[in-house]
This record gives sequence, structure tokens and C-alpha cells, in this order.
Amino acid sequence: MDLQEIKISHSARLWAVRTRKFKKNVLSMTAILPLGPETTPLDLLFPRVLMRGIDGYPENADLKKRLETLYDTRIREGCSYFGDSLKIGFTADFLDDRVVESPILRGVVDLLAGIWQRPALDSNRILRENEVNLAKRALCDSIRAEINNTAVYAANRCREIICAGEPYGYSVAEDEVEAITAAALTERYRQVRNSAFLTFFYVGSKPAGEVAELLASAFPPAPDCPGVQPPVLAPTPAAAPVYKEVSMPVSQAKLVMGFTAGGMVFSDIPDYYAMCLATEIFGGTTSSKLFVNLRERLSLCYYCGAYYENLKGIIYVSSGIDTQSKEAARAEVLAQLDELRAGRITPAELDAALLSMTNTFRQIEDSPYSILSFCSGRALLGLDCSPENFIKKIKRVTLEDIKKAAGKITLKSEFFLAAQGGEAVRDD
Amino acid sequence: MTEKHITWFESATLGERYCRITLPGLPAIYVFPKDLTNTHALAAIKYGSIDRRFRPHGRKDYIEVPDGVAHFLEHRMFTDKDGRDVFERFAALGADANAYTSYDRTIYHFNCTENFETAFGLLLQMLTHPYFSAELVEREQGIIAQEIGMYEDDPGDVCYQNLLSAMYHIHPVRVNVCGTVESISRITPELLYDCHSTFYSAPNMVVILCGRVDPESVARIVAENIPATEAGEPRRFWYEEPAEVAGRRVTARRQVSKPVFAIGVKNTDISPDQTTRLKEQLLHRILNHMIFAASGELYNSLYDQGLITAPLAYSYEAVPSGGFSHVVVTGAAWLPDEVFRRTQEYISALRTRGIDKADFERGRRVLLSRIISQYDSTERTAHAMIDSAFRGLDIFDEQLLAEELTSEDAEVLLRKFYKDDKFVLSVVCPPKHTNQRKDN
Repeated sequence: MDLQEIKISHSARLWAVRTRKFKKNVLSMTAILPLGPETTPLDLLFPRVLMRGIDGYPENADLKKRLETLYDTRIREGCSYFGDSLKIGFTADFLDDRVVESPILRGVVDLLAGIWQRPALDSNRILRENEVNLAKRALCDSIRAEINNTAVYAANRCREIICAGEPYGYSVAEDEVEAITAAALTERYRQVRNSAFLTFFYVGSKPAGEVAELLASAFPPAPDCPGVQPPVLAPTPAAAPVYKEVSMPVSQAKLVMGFTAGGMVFSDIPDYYAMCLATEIFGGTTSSKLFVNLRERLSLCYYCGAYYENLKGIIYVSSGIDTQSKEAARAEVLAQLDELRAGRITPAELDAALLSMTNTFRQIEDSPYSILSFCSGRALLGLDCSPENFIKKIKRVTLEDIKKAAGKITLKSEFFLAAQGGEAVRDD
Repeated sequence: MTEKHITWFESATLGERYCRITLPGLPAIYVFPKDLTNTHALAAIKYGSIDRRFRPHGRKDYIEVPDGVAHFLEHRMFTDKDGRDVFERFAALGADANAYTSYDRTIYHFNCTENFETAFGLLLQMLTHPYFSAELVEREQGIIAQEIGMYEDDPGDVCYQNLLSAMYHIHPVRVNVCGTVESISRITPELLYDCHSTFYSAPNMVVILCGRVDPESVARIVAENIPATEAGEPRRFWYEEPAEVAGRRVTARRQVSKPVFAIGVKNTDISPDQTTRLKEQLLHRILNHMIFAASGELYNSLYDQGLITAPLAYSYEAVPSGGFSHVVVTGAAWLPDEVFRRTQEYISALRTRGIDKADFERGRRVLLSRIISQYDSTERTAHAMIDSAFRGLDIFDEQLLAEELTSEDAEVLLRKFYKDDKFVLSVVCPPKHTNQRKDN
């Protein structure tokens, strides 16, 4: 995979993968910001408002129609936690110019520049109060709507417990959003626009130099930017386990267990790859210890899997179970972890995990979105962006390495959402 | 192998090509060569949740089976006669396998970057060598009961399911694909064998592959693993669904932060011609986008007045067999009845004033972009092919027909389809909700 980095200015860079394989291309734009109550509520909100209108397309309908005219180009704002930092930005996907013989990429860059630099303002040069209020309402709705997906709700509660006191353990509250004014939001937006370092990531058929030129002319340097702002990666430390339980009128209970991974976070050292493989054997596939034992052998759950949050050094085990199966499920998860720690891993389990990871990583270059997803995080951390190298390093991991990695996995938190039974009231 | 026919289809506009292989007594095979690392293979069985009344293989009378059998059968196919989990066998080859059941189909699929021929052979053997025992059936009842519980907790799923039960009087589309805990408790190994022998036969399935695949090898593997038969397609019961809706409004209560709603528009006037049905499907995709997308007047007026805070989701649903068709629009709102009323009002006004040509052309661009970009992925290509294969049409017809559609076609469809008495509203509210607006 031909990945190129080009400096656009002192406040922006481009990573580009040139390929003619796809009809759809992607271009993302991200900034790394601090994570915490002082700024995160504002930083979650202003991108939504920016998407509502820009100079030239001041109304939402106008902007959306312009995107449709560019053959269903989609630009989505996104915010996510990146270790103990917040990553915000926009991702555009659009047809390659040669597919429809039209300058789509230029149109996309113009729109991204307009969204970031020239949002529609009121007569006082402030973000429009009505749009700010509507965006606040929408953000509060999405915070409240977490309860609609009990798996997500339970996972977030476990995150808050395991990282209590750390930025990653913070969750934005509705009252923090409600307190935001249009003036304060505009001030924060301008501060970020003028100081944030922007990283662009492009996957498509254009040469990197051509894309860089388009971006350089559309995005002048940010005057207050101090340079690259790397994300904060700090593994969550081990501590005595904390257990929390709530109950809700739902049919299926959720159990989420959070384990620390011995301080092992995203890196290129052999121990990191051992932890990845250990997690895969533990609960990453339908041949994993958790799936085979909790679901297939004991029928305790419909789903049970493990996920490695490698930016914080946490392994989450999530399952959907009956309330009365909680103790049996917990015990079995811990029993399977003991098996892993003791090195009682069958050749079939190891082979299945290796093959699964190899299969997954080989396919990265089969989609512009997976290339973006795989490379952009690694590029931000200065890590190797080659899927083939990842596969080579995973294949070098031994059973002893896995056993050693598993020995560092320690329970730190549990969150249990007990099911009181759903309300099946229906009135016609 | 004798009498093998390979027909190639090509689209210069899309830059794509595929072939159809026909062998006597064997499933139709579609091969889409694509130079990507992963290969995607699927077997599509024309058997789904709506096939609950049929004539079993070798018998004269029709039987009716409990709801959820097709889905149950799909789950059980992944254990072989030695009691081994077939997922593990796929995993040992580096293949990622899965399956899903819908109204009119059960799809078994995998993708892999190596060992393709062995994995493909395994898929076909799995489908043709079922094994069901009382013990395994009982274990599966526990797992699927958990799955049903998971859906019961999802307010969106409940809202949608209730909508279907309000739109349809008798058609089995009104019933959850998984069935209920009660209905699956009546499933027996004998019943599963009956359903398998009836529906999992060569004339009732298609095989689709996309990736670095050689058509000759694929044809050989199919011939080696699937018994040829001269039997025709299974005999299914045809439900005469009344044109009118069963109920205009249905509500339920769940643990949900804000009422979620689903608006349905029912249609039973379905053309017998497959090309006409495809045209209507494409027109619906354009029309729905024009009416419900974030660029449209309806969405923006609802959002600006605070009635909704997020985009609406919308889709046109129909099956190639022609049993049902409807449009579904979903969202969340404190005043779902007001959203419903405004939606009907907007569509009624649109029927009167007609379709704006510029809006239609933008909708066409959106549709074409989505058709074009589906070919970027082996998985999306293979799954997009299923409907065309079931219909006996060329998938490239989608792009050609989309280019020919006119705004006048859309107006005709708008008037024919969106009739006031065909609208239904389903709402799922928080436990104590009283249908009053809550200001944030």
C-alpha cells in the first residue's frame, strides 16, 4: 500500500493512499483536542452547527442539495474518543472523478473548506442561535437515547467505572450541553479553527501532490497553531475491582466486564501483538473460548465477545444474558481467562484466531473505508501502516507470548444491567 | 459435466462483468470476477419467514408450521452430524462465515482470502447434509429465546414489527422472522427435516460468488456437492392479503428515551412482471429520497420546528415473489402523531402540485451513485445480485432503467401508491408518556 505524507502548511498535513481500485473515494479531516468537561461539550456541538449551512449555501436544504448534485457526496461530522483525547472532524465519501467525468473532488474540498472556515452566521457574526438551539436539542436527544441500546448503555457505564477520574472515563451530560450559548460556542469554534492542527486522509485515484495542492489553496494556515498536536495515550492503571448494578424494565440483561491489559496500549512492540492475539483467542471469533463455552456449550447467552480498546489498554467482555445467569456467566468468563493464562490453548483455537486476524487484515486494502480506518489512527500515532507487516508480526507471536500477555489481564470493573422484564403493553 | 452453459453479461458504463452458469438440475451460479483480496461466496435459499404454509416434498397436502422455523433452521445448519460446530471448520480455513434469514430468503455466506475452494465445498456440504437432534433443538431454543429477548428490548424493532402487524391482516410478513418463544417451543427435528427437504433443493437456490474466482472451478464444486434434481420449485401457499390496512395506529410502551415512530404505506397492487417491479423499486428509491431526505422540504420543516432532531430513515420493501410491498419511514419525536399528520399533508400536496424536475434529477444522481458504488465491495456486489438472481433479471438493468426513468413516472407512482387510507402509524413510547411535547 502506497501511503504518502505531505506537509500542507505548519497547521495541516495530508496522508494519501493512491489507488484506482474503487469507484468511491474518501477524504477525512480531523483535529485532536483535549477531552474533558471544559471543552468537550462545546467540541461535540459546534461541528453539528457547522454542517447546517455555509457561505453560498446558508440553509441546510441548500447544502444538502449541493451534495446531491455532486452525485450523492456525503459529508458526516464525527467525534470520538481517541485515548484520553477527543478526535473531531468530517469525513467525505464521493464518486471518483473519472466515474462520472466531473470534478467531484474539487467540489468536496470546497465544501469542506466552507464548513470549517465559513459557516453561516447571523448579523452579529455569531453562529445562528436557532441552529445552535436545535443542535443542542439533537445532542441532548442522542445522549438520552443511549438508553435505547442497552448494550451501548452498559458498555459506557463500564467505561466510566474503569476509567473513573481519567479523561476517557468522562461522559458529556445534558446539563453541560444545555448551558451552552451561541456566543460561547462561536468563541470555542473560532479558537479551534485558528489553533487546531488538521490531518487530512485521502484514499482515491488522484496523485497525492494534486490533492495536497487543492487542500493548500482551500485551507490557509491556522494563525495560532503550535504545530502537530499528538493524542494523549495513557493506559488505565490496574486497581481493585469495582462492581455496579442497575435494573431496568427490559427482557435481556447485559453484563460488561472491564479488564486492564497490563498497561499495554497501541504500539509496534511484540508484546502488543501478543495481547491482540490473546484477546482474539479469548473472545474475538465464533471459535473463541467465550463464544464456544458461554454460548454454544452452556447456552448462557446469545452473544459474548471480547474487545481490545487498545488506546487505553482495556479489554471489555460483553454479553447479553438472562438475569439469573449472571453468576454462571461471570464465573465462566473468569474460568476461560484462567485457561488462557495457564496457556491451555488448543491448536484449533490458536489457528482460528490467527486465520481470523490474517483474513481481516489482508482485506483492509479492499475498501477505501477500511484503509482510512486502519491507517488514520496509526498515522496519528506514528505507527507502521502496513497490513502485511501487521500480519507478519502477529504470526511471530508464540504460545508463551500469549500466556505472558494473558497473565497481565486483570479484572477492574463490572457493570450489570439486570432485566426486570419488559413492559409488553400494547394499545391499538 | 455435460450441458454446462456460461453466459457473460457486461456493462461498459459500470466497468463490470459477470457470468451465469447453468447446469441441468443444479442451482443457477453467478460469478462476478473482481481483483480484490477477499472473495465472497453465498448460497441464497428461497425460503424465509413468510413460507409458513407449503406442500412438503413428496406429500400431497399443505401444512402450516410454527413461526420462526426458517430462522431456527438457519441456526441449526451450523452443526454437522458429528455434533461439530461448522463455524469452527470455516474458521480453521480462515473463512469468516455467517447467515441471516429474512422474509423470503435464507442466506449463507462467507468471505476468505485463502482456501476458497475448500471453504466453498464446505458451505455446500453443510447445506446438503443437515443434522437435527432433540438435544440440539432444545439447546437452540434457549439461544433463540435470548435473541428474541434482545429484539424485544429494542424499541426500534418493536415499533417496526408492530407496524407490520397493523398493516397486514393475514400475510405472514406481519410476524417476526424469529417467531416467538412459544412458537419455537413447538419446533421438532422432524419438522426441520421436512422444511429442509422441501426448500433446500437445487431449483430453490442460487449460488453467487464475487472475487478472484474461476467459473469452471466453481461449476465443478457445485456439481460435486449438490445433488442434481428434476424436481421443480416448492409449492407455497399464496396469501390473498386485503388491500386495506388492518389498523391505522398501534402503540406500545418500552424503556425508551423519546417516542420512536414508524410510518408505513401499504401496497397490494403489485405487477406480475419482474421488470415493471424493478422499475417501481427504483422509482420508489428516488421518490422516497425526494420526500424524506435531509435535503427535502418535509425534513427541514419538521427539524426547524423542533418536531424531529435527527434524519428520518426510509426504505421501500418488497420481495421478488410479489407477496407484499410497502414503504417504511422511521424516526423519533415527542409528537409522533403530528409528524404523521404533516407527512400525509406534505405528500398530499405533492400529489397535487407535481414533482419538481430538478429535485427528481438530483434524486436520480443519488440513486445512480449508490448503484455504481455497490460494486466496490465483493460482499455488497454478491448480496446486491440476489434480487436480480431471484427475479431472473440482469443486475446491470438497474443502472440502465435508472437512466430511463422520468419525473412523470414518479408522479404516476406517487398517485398510485401514496393513498391516504394506506398510511399506518406505529409508536413506541416511554412507560409514562402522554403524547405531550417536551421542550429540552
